[in-house]
Amino acid sequence: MKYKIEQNDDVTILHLTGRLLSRDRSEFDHIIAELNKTSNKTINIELKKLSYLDSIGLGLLVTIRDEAAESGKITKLSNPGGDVAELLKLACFDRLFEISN
Amino acid sequence: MFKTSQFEKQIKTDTKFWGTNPNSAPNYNWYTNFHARMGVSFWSITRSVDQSGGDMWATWHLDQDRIAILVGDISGKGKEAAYLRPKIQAAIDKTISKEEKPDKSLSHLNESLLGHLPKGHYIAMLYGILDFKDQSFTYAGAAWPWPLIIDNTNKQIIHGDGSGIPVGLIKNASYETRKASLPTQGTLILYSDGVSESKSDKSGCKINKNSISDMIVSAWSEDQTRLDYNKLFSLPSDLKVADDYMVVICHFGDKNKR
Repeated sequence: MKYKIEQNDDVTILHLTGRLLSRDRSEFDHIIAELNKTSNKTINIELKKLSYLDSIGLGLLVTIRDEAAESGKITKLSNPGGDVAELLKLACFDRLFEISN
Repeated sequence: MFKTSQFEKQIKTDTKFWGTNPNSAPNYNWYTNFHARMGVSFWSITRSVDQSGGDMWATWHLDQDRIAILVGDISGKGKEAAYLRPKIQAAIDKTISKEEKPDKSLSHLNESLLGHLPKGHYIAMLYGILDFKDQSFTYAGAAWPWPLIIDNTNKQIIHGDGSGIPVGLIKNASYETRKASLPTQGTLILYSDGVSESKSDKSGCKINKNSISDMIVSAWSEDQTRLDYNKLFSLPSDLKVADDYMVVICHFGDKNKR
């Protein structure tokens, strides 16, 4: 998995690319630390280029959401496709996140 | 295909699984009689990334007509997932009540596990009640792949709905109890998500709900009277699976034998 964080007006965008797997956990610690530094109240996780996520990857999205919520931030998901969209649907993540396409 | 030895092995596993609560532990004689009387048999295959994994299943009796079934897949894989297993099994044993509807059981289990699992960890699961008198399967899912109900007489495949928030992940998760009819000569297929990343020994194709359906339809077209699930779900012996792999199948026999 590769990532890029972009500050766009009042939204912080986290771009995820490739396959989000359990081995990416240490990378996620850096991501969360970086997201904690931003003052923007909205975090948008862009999933358009994410092709797959495993069970740990699914949990990592919730970890970002929970960490952000502690500092009053809202986390949204954008453009999930294919297997990723199917897994998010299976896990009813539309109840946890605002998901846009 | 549905070997009694396999069933007996499962009974022993169940007895161990539910052993911490004598009231919920299955009775060996009851199981054996139930199997014969109701024409019900189970078949399963599991393969883990390591020597142990996070996939689990169990059945136990509720009364003379009903049997409960639980399948679970702990997040992560191999030893990492297996490490959480005793804690989850204990919570299941303590929380799930025979008197409750499946959605309430999952809600209570969710609350019981909150704060007891590492951050971001959970269990995907399906818990349901097979009622052979009512010929129904009442169940609730938590991010569990589509349960499949196979009507072997009318050659129909019914895709159930295992969706729901994974158990142990967030506070106040609510679930939905769903109901499906059980055909007289039918089969319930439950499989963990590791299956969808694996390849069939027979075709070399990825196994998922579509390929399972295709292979069943293909077998029907060849006029096979009984589907060979062993061929369908077996994996090459030297294949190292990418994720813990589990398939559980319940076959219901002729109603007249009940």
